[in-house]
Amino acid sequence: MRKRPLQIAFVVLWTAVVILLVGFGWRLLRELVPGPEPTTVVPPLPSVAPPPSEQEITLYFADGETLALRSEKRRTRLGSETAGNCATIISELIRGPRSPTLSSTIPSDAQLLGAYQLGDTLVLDFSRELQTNHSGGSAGELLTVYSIVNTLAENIHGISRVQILVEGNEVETLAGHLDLREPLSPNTTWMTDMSSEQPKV
Amino acid sequence: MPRGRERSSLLFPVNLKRLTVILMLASVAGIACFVAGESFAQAGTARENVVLPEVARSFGVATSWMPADRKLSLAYGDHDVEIVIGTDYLMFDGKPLELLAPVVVLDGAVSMSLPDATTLFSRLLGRDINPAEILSASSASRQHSDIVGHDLIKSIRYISYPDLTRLIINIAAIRGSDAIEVNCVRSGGTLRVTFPGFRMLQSVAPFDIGDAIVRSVEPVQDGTDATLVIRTVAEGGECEVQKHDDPLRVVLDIRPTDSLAKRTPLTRSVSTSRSSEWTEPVPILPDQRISFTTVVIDAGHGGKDVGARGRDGLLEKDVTLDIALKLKELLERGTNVKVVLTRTDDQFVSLKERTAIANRAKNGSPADLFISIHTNSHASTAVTGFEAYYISDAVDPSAEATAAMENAVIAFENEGNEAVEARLTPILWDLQFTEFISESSEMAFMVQREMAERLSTQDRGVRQAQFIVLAGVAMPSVLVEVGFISNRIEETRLKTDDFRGRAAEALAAAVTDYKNRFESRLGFSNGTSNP
Ligand SMILES: [Zn+2]
Repeated sequence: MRKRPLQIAFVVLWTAVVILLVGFGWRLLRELVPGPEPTTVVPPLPSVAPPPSEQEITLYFADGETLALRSEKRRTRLGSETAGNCATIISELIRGPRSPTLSSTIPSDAQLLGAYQLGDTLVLDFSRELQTNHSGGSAGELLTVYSIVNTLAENIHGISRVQILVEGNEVETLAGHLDLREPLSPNTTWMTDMSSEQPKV
Repeated sequence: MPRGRERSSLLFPVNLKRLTVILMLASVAGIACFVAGESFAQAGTARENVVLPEVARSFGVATSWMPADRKLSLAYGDHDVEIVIGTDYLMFDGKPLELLAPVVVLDGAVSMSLPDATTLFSRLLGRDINPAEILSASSASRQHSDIVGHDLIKSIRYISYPDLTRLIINIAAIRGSDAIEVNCVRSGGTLRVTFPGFRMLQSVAPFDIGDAIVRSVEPVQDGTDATLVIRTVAEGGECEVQKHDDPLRVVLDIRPTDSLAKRTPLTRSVSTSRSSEWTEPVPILPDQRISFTTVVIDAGHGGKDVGARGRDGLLEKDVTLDIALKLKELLERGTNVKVVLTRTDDQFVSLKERTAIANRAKNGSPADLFISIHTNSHASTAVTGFEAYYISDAVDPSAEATAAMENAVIAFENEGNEAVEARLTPILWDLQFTEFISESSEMAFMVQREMAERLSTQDRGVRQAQFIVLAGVAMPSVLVEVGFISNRIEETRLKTDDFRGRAAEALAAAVTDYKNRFESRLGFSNGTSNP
C-alpha cells in the first residue's frame, strides 16, 4: 500500500499547481485587460440606440509653419456604433482642413476598411494606399500617424490607444520610420510647437 | 472579426515570452554578480582604486589609449608600459609584471588598485612614491572614500527634452534616498543645487549642455557640501527633485520658470519588439562599454524603397546613400573609428537587417553609435529645414511593458522564486537605457549644432519619436533629417555635391565631438587619447 499516499500527494501537488496557475492567470488577466473604468459613472444608456445626432468633433491636421498638429473643429453626425463613427471621422480627416495654413495628413485615395475596439485599444484597418501613396519623411509620417491617433482618441469615448493595420495586417511602419508594431497612445507633444530653435553655442 | 480573436489570444504567449526573457536575463545578471563578487573578494586588500590616466597625467607620464585592443600605454623617459583592461599583469619595458588586482573600468574610468599603482609609478619614475602621493594625484579615490564614510556624488548624466533638462546624479551613500537632503536655490540665471555632507568626486568634471534650457553644469566642493552650479539660458529656472533607490540616484528636472509644460514621467524601461524575428537588445554590463571604436551609418531606404520623392524627381534613397558614403570617407580619413554601413549601394535592406548589422558591428557586439540618415517630407511644400531625432522614452507602450514586467516580477517574488535575481533585471535595463538615451540626446544636440553651423537652412531643433531603427539598436542612436525633399528649393540643394558634403562634414564633426566626450568620461582628456 505504498502507492496510495503517493497518489494523494500527486493529486494535492497538481491541485496546488492548478490553483497557483489559475490565480496567476487571473491576476495577469486583471492587470492586462482593463475592466470598465470604475470611477467614471456613465448614465445608463437607453435600451434603444439613439438616432445619429449632430456633434462637434476635433480633427488634427498638419501645421505648415511649426511641423506640429493643430486642431480644427467641425460638426458632423455621429451614431452609437464605434465602427461607423470611426469611418465618419476618418473621412473628415481625409477630406482635409478648411484653414489654408493647415494641410491634409492622409493620402486622399486611402480608405478605412474596418474598425473595432479591444478594451481601450481601437484597431483601424486601412487600405494599402495609406502606405503606398504616403509621401514619406519622418515629419510626414509622424503627422499622419498622430493625426489619426490623436483625433480618434479624442473623439471616440473610452479609447486610449490606436493600432493601425494595413489590409488587415500589422505593419512595421507606414513610410520607414515610426514603429507601428504596438498600439500608439496620443502624443500631445505633437500638438504643440516643439520646433523652437536651439540657442547657438 | 477574426482578427480580434487572434489578437487577444496573443496576449498570454507574449507575456510568457517576456517572462522567459526575464528569467534568462536574471540568470545572466546573477552570474555576472557572482563573478563580480569573486573578483572583488580576490582583490582583498586592494580595494582602494585610483583613476590611472589621472595619476599618470599628474606625474607627467604620457598615456595613449587603444580602445579596439582595450589597451592603455604609458611612457616616461626610456620606460614604456602596456596594460590590457581586465588582465592581472602588465608589460613593463616588454617584461611581464604581476598585479594584485586586474585593471578595470569603474564608474566609467580606467582604475588600478592603490598598491599596484604605487609600485608601478615608483618603478616608472625611478623614485620611492608613497600611496598618499598617488591618492592625492588621483582625484577619484572612490573606494577609499567609501571606507572613510563619505557620501559621494559619483557621476552626472543628462537628458535634454524639449521642455526640460533632466540631470541624473549617481550617488553613493550609507543612508537611503529618503534621508538625502537636496536644496535648490535660484538667483538670476544660476541654480545652486546643494547636497549637504556630500563629497564631489573630482572625476565629476564641469560640462556644457547647451540645450534650450541649461548652458552648463559646474560641480564644486563647498566646504562640507557638494554643490552643482547650473547656469540656465533664461533668468531663473524651476528645479524639481526626485530621489530613487536601487541604484541610489537623484533626478533633477530643470524647467524655465514660465513653463506650463506637462511632466515627463521617469522611465523605467525600454519597450522592445515582440516579434521573435527582431533581435532583442540585451543589456550590456557597463564594463563592456569602455571604448569608442565603431560607428554604424545607416543610409535610409534603398532599392525598391525609394523613400520620399522630390517634385523634380530626386529620390531620398540616393541622397542618403551619397551622404553616408561621404561621411564614411571623412571619418576614415580624420579618425581611427571603424565605420560600418548598413548598405553600400542601391539595394533594399529591411529595417530588421539594419538593426541586426548594428547590433553585431563591433566584433559581434553592438556598435558604439548609430546614425540613420534621411531626407524629410511634408504635405506643405513650403516647409524647410533640418531635424535630429532620438528615441522617445516617455511613450505609453514602454510604460505598459514595464508594468507587465514588474507585475511578473512581483508574481515571482510572491512565489519565492529567484526574487533577487528577477529584481536585478529591470534595474540593469533601466541603467542601460538611461545611459543610451542620455548619450543619444547629447549626440542629437551636437548634430543639430554642427548642422546649424554648416547648412544655411532652418534649424528645426531636436525631437523625440518612437522610430523603429532607433528602438532596435542596443547603443546610443540618432536619426537625422538633413532637409525637406518636398520643398523645391531644398530639393535643388539636396542635389548638389556641396550641400551633401557639408551635411556629411557636420555629422563627422558631431561624431568626433561625441567620441572625445566619451573618452574624456573614461578619464582621458581630449588631448592625450591620441598623442
Ligand atoms: Zn526616410
